[in-house]
Amino acid sequence: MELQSNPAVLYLIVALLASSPIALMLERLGRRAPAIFSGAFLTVSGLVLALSGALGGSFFVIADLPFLGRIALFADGLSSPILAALLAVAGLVSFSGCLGEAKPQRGFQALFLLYVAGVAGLFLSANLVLVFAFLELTLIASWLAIGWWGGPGRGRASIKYFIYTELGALMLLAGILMLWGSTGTLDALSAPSSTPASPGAMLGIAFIIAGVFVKSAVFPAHGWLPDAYSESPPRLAAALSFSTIAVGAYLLLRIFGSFMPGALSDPRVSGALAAFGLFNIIYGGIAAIRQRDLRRVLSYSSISQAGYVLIGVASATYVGFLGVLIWAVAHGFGKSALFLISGEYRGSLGTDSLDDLGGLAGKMPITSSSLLLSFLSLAGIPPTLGFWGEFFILFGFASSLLSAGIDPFRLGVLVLAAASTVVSAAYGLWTARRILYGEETPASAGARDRISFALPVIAMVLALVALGIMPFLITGAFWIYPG
Amino acid sequence: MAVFSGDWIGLAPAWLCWLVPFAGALIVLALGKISRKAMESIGAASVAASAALALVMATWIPGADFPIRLTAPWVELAGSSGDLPFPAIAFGILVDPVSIILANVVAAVGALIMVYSIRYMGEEPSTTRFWFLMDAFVGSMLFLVMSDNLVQMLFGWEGVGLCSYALIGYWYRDSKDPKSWLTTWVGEGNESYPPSHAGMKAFLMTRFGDVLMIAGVILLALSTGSFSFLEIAGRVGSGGSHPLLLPASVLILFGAIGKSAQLPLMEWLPDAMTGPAPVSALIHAATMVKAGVYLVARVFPIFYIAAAADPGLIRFFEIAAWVGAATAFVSATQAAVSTELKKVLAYSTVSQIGYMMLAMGVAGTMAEFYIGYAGGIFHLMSHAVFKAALFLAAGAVIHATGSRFMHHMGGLRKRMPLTFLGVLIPSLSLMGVPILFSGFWSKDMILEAVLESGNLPLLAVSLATVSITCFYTVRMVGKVFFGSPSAPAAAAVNGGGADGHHAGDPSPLMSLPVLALSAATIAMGALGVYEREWLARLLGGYIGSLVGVHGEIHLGDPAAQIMVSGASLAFIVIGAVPAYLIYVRGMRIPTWRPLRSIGSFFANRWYINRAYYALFVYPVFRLGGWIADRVEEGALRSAERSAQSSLLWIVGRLKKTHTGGLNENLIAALAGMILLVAMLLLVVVP
Repeated sequence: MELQSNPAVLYLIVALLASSPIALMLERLGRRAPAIFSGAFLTVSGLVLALSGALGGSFFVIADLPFLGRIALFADGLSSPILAALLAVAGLVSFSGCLGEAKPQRGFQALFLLYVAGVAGLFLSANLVLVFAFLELTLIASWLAIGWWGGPGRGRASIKYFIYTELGALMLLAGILMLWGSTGTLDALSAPSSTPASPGAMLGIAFIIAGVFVKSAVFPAHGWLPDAYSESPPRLAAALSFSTIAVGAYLLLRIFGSFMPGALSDPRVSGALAAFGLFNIIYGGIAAIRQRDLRRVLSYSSISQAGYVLIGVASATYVGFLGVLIWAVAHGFGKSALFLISGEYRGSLGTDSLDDLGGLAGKMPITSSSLLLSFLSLAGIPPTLGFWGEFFILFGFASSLLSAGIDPFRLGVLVLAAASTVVSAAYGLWTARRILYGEETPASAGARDRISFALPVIAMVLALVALGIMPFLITGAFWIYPG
Repeated sequence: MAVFSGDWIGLAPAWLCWLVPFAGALIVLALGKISRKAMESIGAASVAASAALALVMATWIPGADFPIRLTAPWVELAGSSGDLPFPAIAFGILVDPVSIILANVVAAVGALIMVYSIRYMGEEPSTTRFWFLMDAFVGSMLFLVMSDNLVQMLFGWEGVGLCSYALIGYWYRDSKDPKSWLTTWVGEGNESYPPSHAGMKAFLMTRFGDVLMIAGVILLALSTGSFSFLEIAGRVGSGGSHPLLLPASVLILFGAIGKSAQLPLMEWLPDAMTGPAPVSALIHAATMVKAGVYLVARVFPIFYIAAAADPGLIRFFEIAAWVGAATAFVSATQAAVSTELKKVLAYSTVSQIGYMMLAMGVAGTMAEFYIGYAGGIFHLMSHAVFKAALFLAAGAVIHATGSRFMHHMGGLRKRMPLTFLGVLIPSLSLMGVPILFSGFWSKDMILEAVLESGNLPLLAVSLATVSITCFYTVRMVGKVFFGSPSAPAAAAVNGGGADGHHAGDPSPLMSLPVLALSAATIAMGALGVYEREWLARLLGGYIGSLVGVHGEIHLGDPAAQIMVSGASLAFIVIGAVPAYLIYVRGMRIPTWRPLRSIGSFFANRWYINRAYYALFVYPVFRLGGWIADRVEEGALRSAERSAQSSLLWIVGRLKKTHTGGLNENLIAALAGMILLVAMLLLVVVP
């Protein structure tokens, strides 16, 4: 498909970057002003993006540098949906901040917006060096936010987070440079459509995959995630959980979709991705069953979810890639809602420990239904959007299996990955049972639904159901440049 | 391409019938806090409305040219690469005799159960959740029934599963006090489960079947390029056989096995009895658990055609038949020793669905498929009616005695005469007592199909099951309504006859639906001989037109019919007489040791349930604990710690080079320069 030259992509990034200092300035108006501003700004721009589709198939060249090549921003059928989802999630998360936060957090909203701008820039960059630069921006913004406004263990958690993810980013950079060395370009718009996979390029791919493994917290590079998630301020954790999966999925789809379409036909690459994917699905899922607080359940759930991304990418098919995109979006909405809920438990009940909570279903019916539906989406159960992600990922992998001639390894991966979705349902329902059902515990005595807090969460859950019923909103828009 | 194809306006009942209950569910949610009466009325009325719409559809059967499809665009793929595995998934409604019959069963039985629920749930503090979920259930179930493709069907399929999950765990407090333990829990000893556990168990177990089914759907779509039942049936015949069809069919069968609680995934249904009685009647007897049978009936033409091209596909039908027969037998034995009233009925449901599965299975192995196919659908209809009546009546009995255990009941026929009638008539139908009861006709049609298929082992198993069925049914009626009245459990718990107001028959709002269902059982039985003929002609003609078999429909020779009826009568007597002597006449049970150990084997559920916990549940928990404690908090933490300390060690060593002495610094600088020059030379010179 064709890209149209359109400065809108540039305006969007500039506006996002500019919104951060604006939020800082707005703090004079009152402690809720920055959150209201960024909530409104992000949701509106997300909605505009989603409704107009103006960015679908557009690009804008910023500069032509002598040795880095063209620096451009562009949006194709991969960037636009994932960006719209990011803006919607981040906007709703901001709203939840303005609706019920106990103590004022000066500067948090500015840093949050900087983080969102970084992720958005990453989704829109055509040049891989620019991708790296935006990734660094997100790392620094989120590291500072964890370190300043995190929970009691924030010091250790933030340093661990920074070292891990910085290592990942450097591996990504190394991979990008090696890829550059063998293909001669960093620009997605001018990447050759079919490059023979030279050893250098394969090494670059390996480094990029390693970098993504750290960023998406794939076992064994997941050590940062449980600590960072449980110590983050809830709103950052919500945004962080979206981008953990979404950025990794996006990078893999971009590299294998736009830069090196042939690399996945190497059975070593796709086989390794599939094997890591399967292992993570099972490992994260089983570990999640035995966690003691909600945040850690969600952390290990993310590790499990990243596994499905890898399986979908390994399929190297259009349908599998579509599944990965949908999975990332569904995970973003579902996991963000769950992190906000855990923040609400910690904020108003003082704990999100599964042993201390119980019997909340009757006390907080709205929050409880949202928790249950979000978990169901993570497990890929209709009518939620998660179903389509899982369905297309499995479909893509099955079709790649058949076109390549049935090999027992891939068949085994398919069967086990499908069967393991029962584990996803199991940790979700088991967690729900411990929090929502049974006799009331002392900690849950004062619980009640706070409508102001619940609204953004309800919006996320409704989005999951609405998109699940109307998947054409995403499936009809998805294509990867050069298509 | 037209956006909406088909007569969406003229055939509006086909989509209104599921839309109305969904709308009802939303209105219920909105009314919950405002007016309880209005909420209950809307909740019941929306299901009654879809019963009326289903009835309108039934009037189409004589005239219309089936199948009729209504389609609209749904999932479109934007990919420009030419090799998309499927172009799009259309949203579709399939109107044909099978879906119309099912819709009528679901909506009509559902409406009566909703009326019963108004009074039954009357003493609960807040019932918004109940009405919302029941309406959403009926909507999802009808959506499932009317779907014209497998993916869309999955939405209804999981929708009913979710409602079932939430309604099984309706009393989610899991209260352990003796009074609620006696009414809301299920099982005894170490197989005793609270409601929320049972709900989770049901969902996860059926989910396992569903996941395999999804894999099967994917394989089927990959081999035929479509998800639509009719399109697939149109394509499997042409161009020979595809090697994936057999695995696809068996995987899809697993979905049916999970949903319909067949072996090896039957263990969830007996424990699902923690839900309120209307839930058990509607979801776990009359409708949702039949979805598996319906699925097999839906894909029947596909694999019947495929089996004509490739005889290997007959294995699919053979597996279905054997799964059904084995399940019918195994769960009948469990019903024969169960101590809880609703659990007897649950095992019996599993067993009767086994008969339906058996019917569908043998139908696929023979040319006169219509005897088995129509028999399966007929039994589905008659069972839905009489088992719903039994569950509703059981609900009244449990309400009255305050206990789910049959040893807390006894001698109730004088105190609850209407309820006794409402149990007796459906029970006779369940036993298959001849002529006047629907169960006789439908079960005999299945037995006839098995006989015609010539598979004698299957016939032996299904006849033996008839005896056991009669045994447990008479036992149940005897224990509850005959014998000496035992002290009601509620009285024992409360230390007095505090629950005296429950002593008699329930209010008319609860009795009438039970009696209406009993009357329907007799009506269906009285007309049975015409009904079986009508069904065989209708379904035989319709499915025959799909699979390309056009021939005279003849319902077996009279000799076979008489043989089957005679044999089943004999087996009824074999089962019923001992039970009558023991549980109605009060004869002592022979204390014969082998008999007792067999009994305890049955009572332990053949150890299947325990084996599942030992093989799947506990190991996953242990592994999860091991990962959390040993790997995550153990090995990985210490790896991080040692990385940290080795870094500090290196830093410490490096620090020592920073002495500040001019000599050392100069030497180091010089060494660095030499290194740089050497590197430059290496790069530039060659």
